[in-house]
Amino acid sequence: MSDYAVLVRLQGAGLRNRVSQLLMTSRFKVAVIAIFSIAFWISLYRLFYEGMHFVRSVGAQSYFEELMAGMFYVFFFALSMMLTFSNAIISYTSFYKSKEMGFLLAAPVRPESIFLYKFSEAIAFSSWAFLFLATPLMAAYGKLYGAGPVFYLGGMAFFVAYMFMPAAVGAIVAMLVTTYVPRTRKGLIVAVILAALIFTGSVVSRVISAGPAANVDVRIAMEIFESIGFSRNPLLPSYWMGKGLILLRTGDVRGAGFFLALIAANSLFLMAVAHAVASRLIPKGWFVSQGLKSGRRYSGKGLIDWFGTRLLAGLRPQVRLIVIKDVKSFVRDPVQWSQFLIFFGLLAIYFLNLRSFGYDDRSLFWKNVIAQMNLLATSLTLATFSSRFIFPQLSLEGRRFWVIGMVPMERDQILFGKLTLCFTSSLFISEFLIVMSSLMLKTPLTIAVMHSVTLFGICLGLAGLSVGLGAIYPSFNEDNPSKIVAGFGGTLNLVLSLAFVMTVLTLQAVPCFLYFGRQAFGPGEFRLWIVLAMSAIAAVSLATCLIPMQMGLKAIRKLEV
Amino acid sequence: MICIEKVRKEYGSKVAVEELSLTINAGELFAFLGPNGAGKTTTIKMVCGLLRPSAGRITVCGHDVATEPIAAKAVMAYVPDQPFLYDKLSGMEFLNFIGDMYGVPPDERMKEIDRMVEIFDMGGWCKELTETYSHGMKQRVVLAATLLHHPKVIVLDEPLVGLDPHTARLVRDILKNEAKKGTTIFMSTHVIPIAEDTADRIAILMNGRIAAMGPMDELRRQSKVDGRLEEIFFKITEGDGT
Repeated sequence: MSDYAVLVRLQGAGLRNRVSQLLMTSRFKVAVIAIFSIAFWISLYRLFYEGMHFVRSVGAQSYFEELMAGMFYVFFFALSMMLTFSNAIISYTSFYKSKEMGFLLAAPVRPESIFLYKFSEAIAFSSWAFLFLATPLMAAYGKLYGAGPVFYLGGMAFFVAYMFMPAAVGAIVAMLVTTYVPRTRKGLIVAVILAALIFTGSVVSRVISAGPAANVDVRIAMEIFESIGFSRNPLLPSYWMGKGLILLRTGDVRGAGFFLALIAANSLFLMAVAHAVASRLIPKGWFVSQGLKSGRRYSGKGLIDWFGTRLLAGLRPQVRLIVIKDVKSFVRDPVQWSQFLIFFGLLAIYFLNLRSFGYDDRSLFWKNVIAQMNLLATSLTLATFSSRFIFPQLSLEGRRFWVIGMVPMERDQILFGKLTLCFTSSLFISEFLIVMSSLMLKTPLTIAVMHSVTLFGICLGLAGLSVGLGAIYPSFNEDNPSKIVAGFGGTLNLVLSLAFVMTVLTLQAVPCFLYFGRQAFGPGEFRLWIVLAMSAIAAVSLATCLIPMQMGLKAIRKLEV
Repeated sequence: MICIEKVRKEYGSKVAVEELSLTINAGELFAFLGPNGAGKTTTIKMVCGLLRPSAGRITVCGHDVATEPIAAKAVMAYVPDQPFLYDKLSGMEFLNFIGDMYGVPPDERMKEIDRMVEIFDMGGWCKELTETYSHGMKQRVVLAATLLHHPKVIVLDEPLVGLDPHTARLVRDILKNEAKKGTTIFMSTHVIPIAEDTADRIAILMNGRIAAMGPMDELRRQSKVDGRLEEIFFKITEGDGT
């Protein structure tokens, strides 16, 4: 039996045991997550379908085909970027930070086999979300055109072939950076992120306000089409993906087959490169990463301590100390904050450029639509942020839980500390973004205030939900946040977070659309609607915060480590 | 002092600790021996409040660990078998964190930290992130953090694992001194000579029950072995296949 076959058998045995353990002990959990996942998939599908239907119906029919193609290119381009980045991070932690690597490298196993073994884990952890987002889009698109089974089956083949490309690139990047630029790794990550942000900023800024056109809808359609010109580069895999799916829908199987073969060939080529690179760089990178020693010294009297002590003076000392400790751990880990920067940096650049689009000169109806979309983007980013960063907070205490577990304080304080940090940080960032959006769009004060208040509720709900669920479903044996997030609790948290965000945004959007869009009622009635909507948002947000927190507090009091 | 009364711990259908009762007095150094899986770590974690007993009661300095956990933890310190620390904090920051958590006044804390840095010879590296430390260095930081707030009870699970001979001797001397000052020491170990040399009383745990307990003379009488602790241990645990 080859060394790789041994590793596959090991992986298979672990997976089998986990599944049987889950089915034996947690059937309810499995049922709940399955129901929520299906419900969420259907909601996404409806959202995509209604969105496409809406765009087609508002007068952009003549541009609809091009717009759909453009949307596909941008969608897959953005997903490719995110997948490459997330695979690079997961590969780095799997190849060079995992404790298992020491054992594997000491065993008579070829580095290439270790690479394939770890790569299969990384691709599973990073790509499930891609399939979860891309399949409802494909289904909605197929439904809109009444596509047949060949489209759906072919589409799945496209997705599977495509996933390997960003995964292989991410793995190669992780190996090269760790091996050849270890000392400047932090600087390099900063440089790459800044470059990505500048690139995005320049793309967004390039959008030229269109001249006078037939009507506002066509103008917007043209602008959007112009702004995404970069994604129509035929050398980009995202273009092959979008083009292939469109050809598949039109029944051009031969044309679609060409693009599928192109994607598959490139995936295989990149995998071969990654495999070859791994044979040298897995051991070399390991030696380099093990030999690293930071010269930086920390006495505990730095800026974070100084600001933390003063800004959080109103908190209980022990809660404050936990918050400061968590902030330090976050700030000193480039793998963590770089993702955070990308999440919110791109949004900030987009909001700063809103006037370049000329959106501030639009009618009230369109301003409201764009402001709602910005709120949606900020809220969905927050939901992803809370699932990725807040949910694993308690799990990341991991085998260090004995430290705070032994401190003479109620365990409730640990969760309140996490809640305080997560709520205030997400509130600060999201309010900053949405105020920027309102200022750039010159939205009426009513909308600006409503959006700020709505975000307050969303931050509270998401923080409570993620901290609470993090305590109910802790994963103390796992140090990799990506793996913690990919577990049952993490998935449940993501699904519930998105469901909560969609509920709150619907409550907020309905009166705005009825008033600004349809003029369905006068200002007096609008005020009443706002009061009702805001009360409902307050109730939903409080319930979403308090119920999981209550359950989380019970769980942490009973927690055994 | 520590008082364990008829404590039982079950993990599903497996009984890890069964009807365990013992009292450890103030100023006593008590060693817990036993083969792997005998229930030592489970007992220690129950004393610290990190595990809940399925039955029975544990008090530390008169405070019930289950009903008054904060009061019990305030007088206690714990050294785990694996010294997991916060990777992104330096040893110095960790010591400050623990000092603050236990409410040690800043002046006293700084003095104590300086003393600990000197005792455990951490001056060269205690301001570097703990992710760069070896097992022994982490263990020294944990031991320093343990002594920082002058606990009345110190519970140690395999404290000498990973320590070099100098530090191991230092730890042994510190524990003896602490016991002399009136601190209760409850320690599990696999290093039989250390238990023999330092402990006032020794308990040998097997399958969750105490198989023998007492000072060396008492253990010799119970085991009918007139020799070293190692021989007594093997005689008592003979046939245990765990």
